[in-house]
Amino acid sequence: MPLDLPKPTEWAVPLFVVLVLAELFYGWKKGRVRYEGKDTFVSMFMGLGSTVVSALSATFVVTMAYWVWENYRLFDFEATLPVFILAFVLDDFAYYWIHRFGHRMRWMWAAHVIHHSSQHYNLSTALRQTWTGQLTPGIFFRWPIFLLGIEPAIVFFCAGLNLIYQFWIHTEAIDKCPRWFEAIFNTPSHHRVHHSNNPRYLDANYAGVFIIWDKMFGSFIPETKEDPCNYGLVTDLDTFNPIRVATHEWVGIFKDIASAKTWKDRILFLVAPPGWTPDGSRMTSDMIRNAWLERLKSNET
Amino acid sequence: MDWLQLSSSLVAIVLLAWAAGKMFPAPSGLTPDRIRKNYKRYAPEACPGNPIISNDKQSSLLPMANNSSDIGLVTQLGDRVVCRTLSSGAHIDWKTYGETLKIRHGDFTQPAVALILSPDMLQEAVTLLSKFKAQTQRNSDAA
Repeated sequence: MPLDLPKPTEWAVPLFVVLVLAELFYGWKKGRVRYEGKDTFVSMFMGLGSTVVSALSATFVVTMAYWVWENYRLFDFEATLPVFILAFVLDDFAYYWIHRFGHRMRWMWAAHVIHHSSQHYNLSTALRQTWTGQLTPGIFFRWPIFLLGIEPAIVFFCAGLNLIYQFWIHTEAIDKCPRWFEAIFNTPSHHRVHHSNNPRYLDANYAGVFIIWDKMFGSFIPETKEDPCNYGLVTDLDTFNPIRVATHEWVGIFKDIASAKTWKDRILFLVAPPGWTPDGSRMTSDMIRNAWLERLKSNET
Repeated sequence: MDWLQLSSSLVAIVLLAWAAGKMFPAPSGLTPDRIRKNYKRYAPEACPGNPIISNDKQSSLLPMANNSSDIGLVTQLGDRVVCRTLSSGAHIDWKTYGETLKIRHGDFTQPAVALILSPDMLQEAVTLLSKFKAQTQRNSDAA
């Protein structure tokens, strides 16, 4: 009988609404945060849609997770506090890699791009979540934790807490946290870098809760005052239609695969970084950053 | 998630978005400076010319000063600016309805761009697009 744990994200919905409202008034009074009506609607509607899709697909995901845990686990971990803490840390580590692949593999980017599709950065942006995450290999990244022997219900509970943590960091209202906190945890400053499309900041700071993963695996970039964050995609969407927002990268992948000439290209359109093309006619984030560095060099000389 | 939670969430979303729209009205629209500044951020190597701006200030066509094979499309979405480049090889199509010029270029994330223009500006925009299409055709024939 699986553990029956609460779903933290559903419990947190009223808190999300209150905090968005608080940030709205703060931004209105102080001018440090900006909202836009339709953008806010799309962000929050995508969040609602994501919750509905997750509820519909939960049976499949949970069944698969329990199948792995029941048949192949190496150890038996009881549901104790140290195990919950271990699960939280391991889940955050798995999240780091899900997130990193979510930016570096176009198949996973097709689902994750939704979260980056707003040109605004406020608490409503945190709710702009994917509708298609279950169609990507991202669902396998937590399997090693089940294989280790931690019950899936515990891991999914921790994943919910992780998502709640990430809500408050989507804000411009907080500049920097205390230095010790910035060193260990993901913060609004670190995550602003992650959401910005400045060449300097592309593909950085993938952390969920602990920023130490980025520091360990070389993906950490600090926010600097001389390069203020500009939010959104490298090529921003020109639509507020939630269906187009949710599916545009999938449409792009299907078009590219349909027009590809070889099987190698078809596979690479799926697994190579976003922006990859056989002829280099579009730019990946690495190409954009290199071009920016070249411009900097030529400006200096 | 039950129906009560779903419907109350929808109501909360609509009310918050309405409040956001009232508290943060969008700026008045595109200006030549705003268009060039945003386009330079989008395409740092580009050399933007004089934009053809829609009368409602929501969209514009941006010829390049040094390059006739690219055209910029700059639109305002809410309070933010969105840029695209129509490059050689782009499948571009346009129609005019009275003073409105509607451009499509096969981009799922930018279904159509509509410009409302005076007759002179409309003619200038259509000429620009026609030249671009002819150039694209020549390039594809040469290839």
